[in-house]
Amino acid sequence: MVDSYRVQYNYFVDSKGTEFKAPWNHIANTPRVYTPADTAIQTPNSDTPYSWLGLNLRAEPIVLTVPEIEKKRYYSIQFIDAYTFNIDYAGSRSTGNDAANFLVVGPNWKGETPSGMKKVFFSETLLLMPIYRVQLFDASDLDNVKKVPAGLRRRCRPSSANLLPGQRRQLISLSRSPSKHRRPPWSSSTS
Amino acid sequence: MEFFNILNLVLRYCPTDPSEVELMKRFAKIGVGAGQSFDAGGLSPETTKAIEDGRADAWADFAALLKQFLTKGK
Repeated sequence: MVDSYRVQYNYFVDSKGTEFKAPWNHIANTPRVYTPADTAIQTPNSDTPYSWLGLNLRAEPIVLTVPEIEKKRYYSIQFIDAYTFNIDYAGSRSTGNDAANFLVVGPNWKGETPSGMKKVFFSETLLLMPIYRVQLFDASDLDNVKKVPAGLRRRCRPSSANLLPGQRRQLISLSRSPSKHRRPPWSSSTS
Repeated sequence: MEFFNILNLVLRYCPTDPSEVELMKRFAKIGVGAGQSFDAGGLSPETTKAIEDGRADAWADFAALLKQFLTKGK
């Protein structure tokens, strides 16, 4: 759990660090293959373009939207919770390659699922790291792969954006709300 | 031992599973849990030794697994 949070701290919290990807609840695309310069995660694939997302479900559930992805191209979203359990997958082998919306909800959430959700993913923890992987056929294929994250971008959004005000209150009231996120003890930065 | 305070931070985002209530009560005795503060300097010598021994056990287990992996390839 601590080492997993170390990765999340590097990717989603330490905005001045060299490994920083994006703030919590924002997708960061890495439309290239990993090299030895990428050191936060011990053994990433070096032939797989990734997109990264650190989810904080404290306030409300989150909707993930994926574009239609060509049938021959494998992709997956691996959901890893704060215990480092692989709780579920979305993608070619589970939910298919069609365009879809997925609702990701935190512990004890009991709200109604908004319409248009292909699947609901339940997490036992409020912090969650979905990892997106998209198949790269060969080096010349990279430009095609770059189009996939373009479809993912800006589509991670609070589910309240799709909901009526009354529904939004319902979602928030049913989410757990521990106190505000604190900086970890090893951080001396004041940003 | 700052490890445990990072763990405490992450545990704030992990509501206790019903099967782990007793486990978390045990952890709380040494300041491990959501909202807890771990103070290595405030532990009794016996508790400090027990934690260090536990860490030594874990490294021994790890070394044995590594040896098994390197000699048998699995």
